[in-house]
Amino acid sequence: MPLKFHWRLLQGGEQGGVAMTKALQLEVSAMPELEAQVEFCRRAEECGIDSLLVDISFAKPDPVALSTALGVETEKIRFMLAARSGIISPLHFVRQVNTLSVVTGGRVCLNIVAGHSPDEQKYYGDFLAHDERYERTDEFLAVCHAFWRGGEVEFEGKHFGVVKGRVDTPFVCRDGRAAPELFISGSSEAAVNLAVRQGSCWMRFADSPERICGGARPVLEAGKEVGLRLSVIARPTREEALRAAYSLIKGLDPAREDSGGERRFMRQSDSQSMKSVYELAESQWLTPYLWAGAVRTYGAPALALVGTPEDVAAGLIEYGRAGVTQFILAGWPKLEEMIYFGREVLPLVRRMEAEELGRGQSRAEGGA
Amino acid sequence: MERPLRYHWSLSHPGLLGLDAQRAVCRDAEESGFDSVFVADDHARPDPLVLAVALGRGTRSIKFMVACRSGLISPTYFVQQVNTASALIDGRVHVNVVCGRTPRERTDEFLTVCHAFWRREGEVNFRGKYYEIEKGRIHTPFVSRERAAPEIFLGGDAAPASALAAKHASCLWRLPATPERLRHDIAPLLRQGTEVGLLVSLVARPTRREALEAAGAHGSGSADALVGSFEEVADALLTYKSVGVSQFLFAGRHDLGEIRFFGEGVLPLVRGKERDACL
Repeated sequence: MPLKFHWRLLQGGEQGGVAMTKALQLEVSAMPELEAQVEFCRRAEECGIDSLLVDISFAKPDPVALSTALGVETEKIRFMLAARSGIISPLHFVRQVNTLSVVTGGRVCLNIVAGHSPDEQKYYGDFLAHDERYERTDEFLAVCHAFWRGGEVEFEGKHFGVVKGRVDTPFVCRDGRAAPELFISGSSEAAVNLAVRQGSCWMRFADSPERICGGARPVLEAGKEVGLRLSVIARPTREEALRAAYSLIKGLDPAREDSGGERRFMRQSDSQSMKSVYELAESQWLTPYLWAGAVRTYGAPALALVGTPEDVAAGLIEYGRAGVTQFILAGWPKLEEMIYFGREVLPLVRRMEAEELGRGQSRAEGGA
Repeated sequence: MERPLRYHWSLSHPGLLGLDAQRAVCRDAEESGFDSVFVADDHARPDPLVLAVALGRGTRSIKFMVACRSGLISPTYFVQQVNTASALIDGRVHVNVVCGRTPRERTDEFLTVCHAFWRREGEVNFRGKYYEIEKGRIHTPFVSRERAAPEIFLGGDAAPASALAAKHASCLWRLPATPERLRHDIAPLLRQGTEVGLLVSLVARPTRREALEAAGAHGSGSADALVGSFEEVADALLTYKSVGVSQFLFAGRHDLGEIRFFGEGVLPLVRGKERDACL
């Protein structure tokens, strides 16, 4: 199966191109910047990006409304909406997702997050702890699936009850799916179980390929995919890539250098995956190309493949061998890195995939 | 103080979404003097907020009255969705709260929390029977040149709806009654500063006979329909105005050109008569 690449949507306040710490993003990303974001979507279409991840956070615009506005002005790119279970009823959620799917001509998939900050969840009236959130999300998705199967829905669970529920607006999908592709984020056992039970793909933060391989097994055995959140720093030479990487954490505008803010954020988080990536960042290089140096400043998704287009492509292919088939990528600056990725890295990935396939076939023929 | 009459058009159920067709209706309404298009909320229809944003991106000045009910969504997230929509379509968002079959107390709490976010006075804390919010924050503000929060319309005919409207809404929707009856019923609400609007079907044609024929042919002749010549409908609107009604939410067959009949036939007469009354 060819690897699929998704990219994080450009946020409001980001198009200056400078890397922003989490703390700074909280301050500036509240407003959509439609013109720049539509342009970003069009570039993503040209770059061979499958979908754009639209975050959910109290500090950002609502992903459903934002994706609607972006969707009516684009034609190919898909939208991966981040969604959580404690803020909306499954019926209302399905109706919004289905309506968005109709409005965009079938370009919607979902990134289900359990939520990583108990404080933020209380803003929304959600007081459940980590494991209960997964239990509720499981029920939430069970109800959603019932609506996507069609007909009248009856459900009686611990967190949700539905009596004669109906959503008449259908889910429309370009690929003919009857329900959206569900990416389930998280690295805890609860997240893995949720992905196996309700999802299409388990999304986790990157790690070394060996470690990914072990964790991926139960998910792959259940017939589900494995995906990684990862950043990319690709430059014509390794020296340039390293320079770009180190410049992210050195010599920045002091206002942007806020590892204290990130540390504060981590203390308040009860996300196991964010904590484990944060611990990984103790050692800067996990493999010759996998760099954790930016994690402490920019958060867990900043674990990055760094190097030449060949290095990065090889790194991605290596993940592919470990069982990974989907990637949600980002870079600094987001737009320029995506364009460079689409032009220089992606063609190499496709060529290497074809070569692997060829080798696989000749091995199979040789063995026959 | 007299407010100019305002008109809203109820987007009728189109079956499956034909986005272009619905945009055409919105543009018609835009050009025919309507303030907003009402996007209803029920299981048979698309989601009103998503639809409002999708239609809003193809129009310029028409607003969208987005229906909502408590119980489906956290008030915090609702405010975040409405605020985001406002930022995407230049503040052209009204909210219509449906409180028919939902517990009144819950709707009351829901709107209390929403207003607390819209006041933007810092963290929102609320502890009620249905909702509990702790240190609530939403960064995306309601964006509009005119207002810091959306106009809230509230539907429901009973006394509880009236009490909720007085507390939370800028306008209460009523079903038609005789003007004298309405005058009596709505006086207390008007005194509290909440407007009253009329929810009514509309069949207006150049002549009364044509209107009756159109109403008869399409089954719009219910008791809640305004049916008549342009002149008659204009007079009826002004009669309602004289007892305190200041907004109208019309339902009708836009495929029969009802929006245009209103904009080209009725509205100029109403405005002319309003001017004459001022002189």
